This record gives sequence, structure tokens and C-alpha cells, in this order.
Amino acid sequence: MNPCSVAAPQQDSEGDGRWNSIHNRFLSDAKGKDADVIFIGDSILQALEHTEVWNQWFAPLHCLNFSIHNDQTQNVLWRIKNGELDHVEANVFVVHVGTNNVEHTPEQVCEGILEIIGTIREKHPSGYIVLPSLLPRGQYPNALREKNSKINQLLREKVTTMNKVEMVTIDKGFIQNDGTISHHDMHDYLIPTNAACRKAFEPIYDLLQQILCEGEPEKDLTPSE
Amino acid sequence: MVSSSEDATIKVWDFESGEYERTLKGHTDSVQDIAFDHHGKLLGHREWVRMVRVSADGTLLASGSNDQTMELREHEHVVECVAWAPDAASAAVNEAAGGDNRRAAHAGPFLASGSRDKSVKCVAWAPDAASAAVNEAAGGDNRRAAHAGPFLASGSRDKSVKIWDVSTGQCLATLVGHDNWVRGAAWHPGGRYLLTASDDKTLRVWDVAHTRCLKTLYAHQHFATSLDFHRSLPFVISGSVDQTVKVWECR
Repeated sequence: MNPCSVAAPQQDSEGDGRWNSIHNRFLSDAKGKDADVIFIGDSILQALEHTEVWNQWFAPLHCLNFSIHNDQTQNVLWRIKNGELDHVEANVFVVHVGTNNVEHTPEQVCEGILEIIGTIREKHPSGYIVLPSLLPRGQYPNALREKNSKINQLLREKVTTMNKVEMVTIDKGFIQNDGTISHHDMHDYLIPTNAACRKAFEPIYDLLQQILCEGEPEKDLTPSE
Repeated sequence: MVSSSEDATIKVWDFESGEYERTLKGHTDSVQDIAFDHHGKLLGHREWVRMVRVSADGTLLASGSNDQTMELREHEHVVECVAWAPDAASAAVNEAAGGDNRRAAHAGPFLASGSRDKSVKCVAWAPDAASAAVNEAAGGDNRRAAHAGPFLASGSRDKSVKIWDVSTGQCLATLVGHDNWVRGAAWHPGGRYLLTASDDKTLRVWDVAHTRCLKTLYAHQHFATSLDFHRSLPFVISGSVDQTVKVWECR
């Protein structure tokens, strides 16, 4: 069995039950709040929520962010299968996960992401699924960077034919000429800073605006006289 | 009126106590839309209660809930908001029940309610004094006040505010200007002005007769979700997701 595509909760290795607490909070947010867009995924998206970019671009679009630090594909899958998207009426889902699946092969991770797409599709047959590509990581070239770009390549091949699934390249412009990643972009060489989020997520913001406007109901059909 | 959040369980429902009557007269809306941890069990709701209104004499409670029911009427969807009709309006509203509820005025005998199935976020009954202004807004030959009312204003996810004649189910005017969902609406007691609060972080003051925005207040850091007029003094309060409540003096 591919461990990336079998739903599993994140192991509570620290013993304080935080992962479960966050999951429960997301369940409650899903019911109580009214969102048009749901972000779901890993550390990268979680970090996005705490940037200016989020407040400036995404919050006004009525986005909720269901991302948890260190989540792998199987963890996100578990959360979706355990209700996080059951009561939401969003019609756009932004999914970014896989960079933390460090022990798994690109093929396995890709399959895991496809499983997530399939699960969201079951729950929201008419929803849009937006996939920002995985970002490069590590100050210097390394195997995980190559793996992420391999995952991106595999995934892109798989999803091009899918309806209402859009993969967006956000990983360009981070690797400098000498092959390094600057700490101005990723302070720990993994998580994007505010400045990096502005670069990376602008195409996502553009796409969301486009999708949301497209879905807007006919404005002036209501008789005003 | 209830405006609290996480800890708002049973105490909040004890609306008959003197303490709460006092709150009733001042602030009559929830501070935030996220203040929904009231568990509806006490009222028989199966899901979260989104909004509550206390009637003028404080003895009745109307509630809207995620369980898709309201006291008297069923919506196809989550009930977003409810408002008591003024007594004078109830007869007319009764006649209109079953009328046009395409977008907003889903009117029960004593309640107006907006539901997410049609994306209405808020409703507010117009005071009697608003009749002249609303008729002027509706245009046409209105020397004789062609529209009898009662009138209802609604704010919507489509960023517009609409004014309805509930007795006929007609939309009389549309106020366009907000850049995001309209979350709160309140009439000036004099009837000429309507105030709205929106997710574009502003409050707007509308000249109803001319269907025009008179003033835009950049009120909050985050979504402005609710507002209300003081019953007798020239103050407006607004609540926001930025976790503040602001008091504005009208001039």
C-alpha cells in the first residue's frame, strides 16, 4: 500500500494533542463560517495565513485556511475524510501538500495528491481545485528540491486533462543564479516569507479572482421597477 | 439581544432578566458574525444559531440557525438573519407570504428572514417615516405614494443593497457601492437614510430617496459585520471581525 494515499492522522509525537485540536477547530470553522475559498495543506499554506499578503489579498475573498504545519498527503487526506470539507460551501479549494513527505518517492506523493483531489471531487463535484506547485527547499541544491520538482512534473501530467483542476506554477524565481535560495525568501529555507508569498501567490490570487467573478450570479435580472 | 461568543451558552438565552433588557435597548446586534457558539438545543435547533432577535417587549425570541429552520418557516438553506416586523407591518406581510421570495423578502407572519440559499446576509425593516423616501427612490409617478409598504432593506453577498415592498414582493431600489458582501443594515429612525456595514471594511450612509451613497466611513481593519442605531440618541455602533465595536456620533 502506498502510505501517501492512505488516510492517517499526524502522529502526536510531542504528546500535547495539538494536531487534533487544530483539526477540531477547523471542523467548527467549516460549519460556522461562510467561505468561498478553502486553503488546505501543509506548512507553506499555514505560513501564508500569517502574512500581510493573506490579509491584503485572500481574507477579503472570504478564504478559510485549513493548513497544518508538517502535514503530509496522508494527513490532509485524513482530515478531509474526517469532515473538514463536509459543511463548507466554498467552490474553490487550494491544495498544497507533499513537501513534507520526505520519506516517500515522487510517484507515491503524486498519487497521494491525486487521492486528495479525488476525495475533494467526491464531496464537491462542481468545485474548482487549485494546485500551487511545490516550492523548492534547502539553501543549496539537494535531493528534496529535485524530488519536489519531479512531483510537480508528474502531477502536472496527470491533472492537465482533469476538469476544473488547475495547477499553477509558483516555484519560479526562488533559486538564484548560484543555485542557492535566499533567506529573504525562505527564512528557514523551507517556509516562504511575506515577500516570497507575494511573489509566489500572486498568480493564485489572480486565478481566484477570476474564478470567483466567473461564478458571480447574473447581476441585473432582478426587476428594479 | 445576544452579542457574545464562545462562552455564550445558557446565560445569553436568559433574555427576560433585567440585565438583558438593558442590553436590548442599546446594542441590538451581534458583534461578530463569528459569534456562533450558542448551541441551539435550548430552542430545538439542531445546529448552530446564527442570529437571534428579541421582540420589542422582550418576551419573544426569534432565531435563525444552521439547521435550516426558523421559527415558523423553512428555508432551503442556512438561515442567515431574521428581523421582527413592526406590528403595523404584520397584516400586510401576512398577505404577502408566498409572494416573491426570489431574493430577499421571505416573510413569515412576524419575521423577515434572509437565507443563504439566496445569499441575503442581512435585513432591516424600514420605519414608517421612510415611506416618502422609498417611494421617491422607486421613481415613476409617486405623488400619491404608490407603494404602501411595509418596506424592507436587504444586504447581500452580491455586494448590493435592495429595498423591497414586502406587500407586493417588489424590489424598489438597488443601492450599489460596496465592494464586498453587505453584512449589516440599519435605518435611520427618520427614514431618509440607510446605513450599511460591509466586508469591504466600510460603513456607508445612503440617501434613500436618491439611491446614492452619501458617505463612506473606513470604519474597521477587517470585515464590518454589524451595526445599529441607538434608539433615541444620535449614535451608531458597528462591530467587526477585527474584534472591536465602535460608537459613531451622527451629525
